[in-house]
Amino acid sequence: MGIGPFAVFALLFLVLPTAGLFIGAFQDAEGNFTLANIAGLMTPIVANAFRQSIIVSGASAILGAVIGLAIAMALAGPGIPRFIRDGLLTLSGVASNFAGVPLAFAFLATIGRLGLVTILLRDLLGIDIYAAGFTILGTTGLTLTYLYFQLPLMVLLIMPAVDGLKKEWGEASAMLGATPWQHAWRITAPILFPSFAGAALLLFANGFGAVATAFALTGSFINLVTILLFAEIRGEVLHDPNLGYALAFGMVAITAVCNIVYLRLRAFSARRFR
Amino acid sequence: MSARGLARGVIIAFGATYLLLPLAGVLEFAMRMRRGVYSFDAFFTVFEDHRFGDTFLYSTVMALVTVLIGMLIVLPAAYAVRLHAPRLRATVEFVTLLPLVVPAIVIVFGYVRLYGSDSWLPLTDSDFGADALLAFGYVTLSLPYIYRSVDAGLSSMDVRTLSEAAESLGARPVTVLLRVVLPNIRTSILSGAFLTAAIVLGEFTFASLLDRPAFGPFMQLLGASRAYEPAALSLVAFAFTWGLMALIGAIGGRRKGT
Amino acid sequence: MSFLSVRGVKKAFGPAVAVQDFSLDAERGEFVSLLGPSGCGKTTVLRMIAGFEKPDAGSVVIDGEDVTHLPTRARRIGMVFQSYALFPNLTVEGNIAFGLKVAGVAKAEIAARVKEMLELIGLPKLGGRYPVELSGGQQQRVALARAIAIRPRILLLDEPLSALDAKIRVSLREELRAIQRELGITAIFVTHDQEEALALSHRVVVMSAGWVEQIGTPPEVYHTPRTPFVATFVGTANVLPCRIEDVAGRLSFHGAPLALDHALTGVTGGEAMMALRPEAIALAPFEGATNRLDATVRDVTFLGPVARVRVVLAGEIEALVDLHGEATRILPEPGSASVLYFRPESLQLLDRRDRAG
Repeated sequence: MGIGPFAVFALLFLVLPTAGLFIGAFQDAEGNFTLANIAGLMTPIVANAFRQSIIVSGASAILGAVIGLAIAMALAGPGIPRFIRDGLLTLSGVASNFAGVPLAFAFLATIGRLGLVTILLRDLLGIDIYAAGFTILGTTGLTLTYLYFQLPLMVLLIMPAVDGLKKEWGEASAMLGATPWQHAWRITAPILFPSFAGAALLLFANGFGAVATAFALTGSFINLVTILLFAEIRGEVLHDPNLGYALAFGMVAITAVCNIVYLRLRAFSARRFR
Repeated sequence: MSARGLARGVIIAFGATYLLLPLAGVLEFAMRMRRGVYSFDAFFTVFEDHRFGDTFLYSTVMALVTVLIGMLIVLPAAYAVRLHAPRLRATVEFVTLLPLVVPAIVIVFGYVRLYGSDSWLPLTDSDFGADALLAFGYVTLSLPYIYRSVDAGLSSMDVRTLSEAAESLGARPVTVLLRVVLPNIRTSILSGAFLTAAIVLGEFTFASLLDRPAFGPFMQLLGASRAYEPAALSLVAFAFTWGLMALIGAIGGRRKGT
Repeated sequence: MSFLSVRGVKKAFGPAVAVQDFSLDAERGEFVSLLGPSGCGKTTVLRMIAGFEKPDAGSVVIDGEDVTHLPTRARRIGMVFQSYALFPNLTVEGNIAFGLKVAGVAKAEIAARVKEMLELIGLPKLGGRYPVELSGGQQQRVALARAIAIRPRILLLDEPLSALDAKIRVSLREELRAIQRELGITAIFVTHDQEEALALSHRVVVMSAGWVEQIGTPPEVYHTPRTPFVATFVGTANVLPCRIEDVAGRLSFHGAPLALDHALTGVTGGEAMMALRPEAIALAPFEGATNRLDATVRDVTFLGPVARVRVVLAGEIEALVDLHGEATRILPEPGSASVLYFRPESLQLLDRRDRAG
């Protein structure tokens, strides 16, 4: 049957490798069941990495979601020339796929110590952001960099929902005596919320699993879960392979929850709001 | 202009600036290589570096192989699910979505453990084995996109009726797939292929951890040792991403037109 | 003074003029239809009454209050949309209660009003459903209930039946009329379906290309169309050229004398157009059918209760004749010579207002 090759492939290169890690996460070096690895996630270096990852991907997801929604709403409806809408959506499609190493270079060249924006701010406005404590290698710098793919991804994810808002709903509200604020609060917000929250969660998972951008930007300077895991795979910095498996398990647990909630919300939206 | 119109303009301008400013920044930076004047030296230096050509070729071949293997696996499965086993559809769809849930670094970690030096199948020990493992990894990464594009193509035609018509004329199932189904979903397959290429060309995590001479690790290496060349490289990578996305857009647009 | 008064309203969208000059007076409790093909400006007129569009000129007065510059939410109007436009995040009850809620009406009163509305539209058990769980006809009933729950001064209906299946369309049409008559609410109904307009309305406004062609009761508009457009858009009519011979109402068609049933005022002669309904013509003499025209039968289509005969008159002009009942038992042969018989009152002289430019 046609499914055969697919099933074998998925088993060998997706299910088994991942499942192997998860099993390893609950085993000690001798292969006995243990929860020690999961408990090991609480050790300072690992817990700190999770905290950093959650902060960076959380901040970039929330900022990306809010600004992305604003952009999508600004683009929707009449009054915006076709070429601006199409142009920005195309740019979003490219930018959301433009992650990893080259993105890190672009941000280094823009808000790095010698970056274009850094220099312009210093020379034209007299604002020295590095003297003020900013560094692209820090949480803020990484968040701004992640925002480069999070923001356009949000625009692409939420655009269909925003386009799906019917002009007649606003007119019906007005006809029934509602102010624009009442309409926004009672109708628009509840309709958009599932799509918005789902997309924000997807952004969070997206940022959480990112490796290359952070690695190319900071090397191992910033302690993210992915960076820690990267180092672990290369040289076993944790001196305990099973703790590495627990790390992977912890990551997937977080991204899985985000994705499941996202899919649920999306299904809800599709069912009720069509 | 109304206040609302002004606010929309400001927001759109902010978004466009955020996405375009880094490109301006990286271009300006790349052109700073020659002291005192703007020049394209960094671009020439990059293009003259033989590692650029080598790794780019490697990644391009890898992208082609990925698309080929991906289609060979996904197309029969998607076709069979539609035609013979609709009950398996949800399961197949779920499996193809998994790579979006499990971060790439976790998948490659699993590979290193399952196919590493002291495993039952030490693929990483030989160059060919590692290349193959990288290709399989890329197929896994692009499963969601390949499946979605193939499935979209299949749903735009009446697979069952077409297949039955072909079989009533004496065609074997393989012939039906190659001569009837494939030509009808050509555009969907192409857009899936370009998206896969966009992902594979600059991919870093898999290639780096499997120690393959691919374009992504080369960019990272150059970034760690040089100043201006990485900026030039970044623009080249952006141009490639843009080109592939434009191709996808063009294909999608044409399909809508027909 | 009439309850709704629209005076000299104009509206252009860029270079495209949607409404040239529109005036209408409607009485309290009256049901008025705006009838015309798409693009005739009927929806724009409705949207200007609703306040969704600002007229370039003219005024809208509701119950003595000039609302021309009032925002929609302050106009106290109810509107039903072609696409239903129910709020998908609210239940049926939530939708009906929405207008009362934003007006700050007390909870108990809202509940009572919602219940009353659900009874009125005959869906007392569906209050907890969401719009996607309803059929199109049910959704449109809820939309109607939502619009009248706020006790609007005017009910505006923008092709409310167009998106529905033919069967539901007719039954909901009857229901709509019953509810409107029961509540005594003034209603403005936009449609491109002449049957709907004739069946529902006290008066019909026929529109074309931004102009009002004719305002009248359904029988008036049907039997005495004033323009070629009205004659052909409302029902089917043969619009034929003629000559006015004298003020006594004598006409001629390619030399054949014809008579109107009334004298003419202000017209002295010359070329004109006249309308004649296919069903007013018979191929055999009958009482009062003093007008007659020679014709040749071109072809005949038998449709059961009606047989439609295409004939050629003098000057190679085609006309349609509908035969009914017993007259369809023996059908004329194509190619045979025949005579059309009709009464003077069936003949309608049309205004030669030409607005194509």
